[in-house]
Amino acid sequence: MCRSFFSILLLVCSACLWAQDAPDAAEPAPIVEKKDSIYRGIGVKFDLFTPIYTLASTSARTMSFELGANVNLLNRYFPTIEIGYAKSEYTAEHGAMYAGQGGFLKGGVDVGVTKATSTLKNLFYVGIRGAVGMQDYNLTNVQYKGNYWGTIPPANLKNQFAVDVWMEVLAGIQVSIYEGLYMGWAMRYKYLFTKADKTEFHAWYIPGFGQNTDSQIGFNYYIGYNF
Amino acid sequence: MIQDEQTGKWESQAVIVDSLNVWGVGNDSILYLDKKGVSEVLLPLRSDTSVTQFVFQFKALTDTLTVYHTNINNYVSLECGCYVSYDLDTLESKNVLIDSIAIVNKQVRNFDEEHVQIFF
Repeated sequence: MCRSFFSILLLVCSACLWAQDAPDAAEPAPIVEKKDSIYRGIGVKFDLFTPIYTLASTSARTMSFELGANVNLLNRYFPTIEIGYAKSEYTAEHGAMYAGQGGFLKGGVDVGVTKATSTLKNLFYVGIRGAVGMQDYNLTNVQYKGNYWGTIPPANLKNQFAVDVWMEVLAGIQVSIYEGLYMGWAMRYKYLFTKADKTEFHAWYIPGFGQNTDSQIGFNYYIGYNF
Repeated sequence: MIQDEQTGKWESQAVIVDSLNVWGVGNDSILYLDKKGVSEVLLPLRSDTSVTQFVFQFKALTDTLTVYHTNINNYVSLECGCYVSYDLDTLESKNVLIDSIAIVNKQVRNFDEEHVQIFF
């Protein structure tokens, strides 16, 4: 009787031990769940092209910084925001001068066009942005054409404020350097919505856009990290 | 004004004036000095004020043309600077030499268009 009791007790303990081992056997389940989740992490990036170009070039008149952050969805979709600051000065041939500085904000999404994999390594992507840039600027010593009645004093506009809106389409690649660290290149076509009335005074440069023309081509070289 | 012999209608016709002097009031420089065969004149407007006056002198007759205008600043670029264009408001004269004035085109945007007709 006593032997039977211990045999039953031993069986029950074995069953209990087996029952305690059962969750360990199913441990890979959460990993599978993570791979299937839409959210795969976040990334940050810093544009090096404009600062390097400004330092390397004697003719560059603009200093611009740009930071970006994105959310990785399925290793394919990357909702992105980019913020930056730019300062620019330009003196024309006859002494007219523009000086302005301001910030910009861009929002949009990048879409990977290569096959999505379980880990984000190298990526070729296309994207779209909506962007807004704001600045304070001065236009000084803008010359008038004189006539029979003599010369007209030059125009000086101080503390002007401008807001500009544009969109961008872009294509880029990013290449993994080490673990989450990557570098990338992107080329952008920018189309300005707030086109200036050509006969009104307007800023020579738009932060985040470039020279104040209907469209611009931009280039970025990024260093970034994916968490 | 001349009368068409066939239709009987009076029509304006450009005339050619000899020995015409034209200068701006307040400016020592003369725009046209004893000019022969004049059928049109180019009169620069002031950019610093909205009233420009010109003296027309033909033989012993002298008249003053007063042009009231609105000045419009136009920005081209930092390199090219600015220029002023004009909208003509009214014109008047002392009616000594000039009989009447008609505005053909109120907007003065360039120099190779006719804007005003002056009748003697």
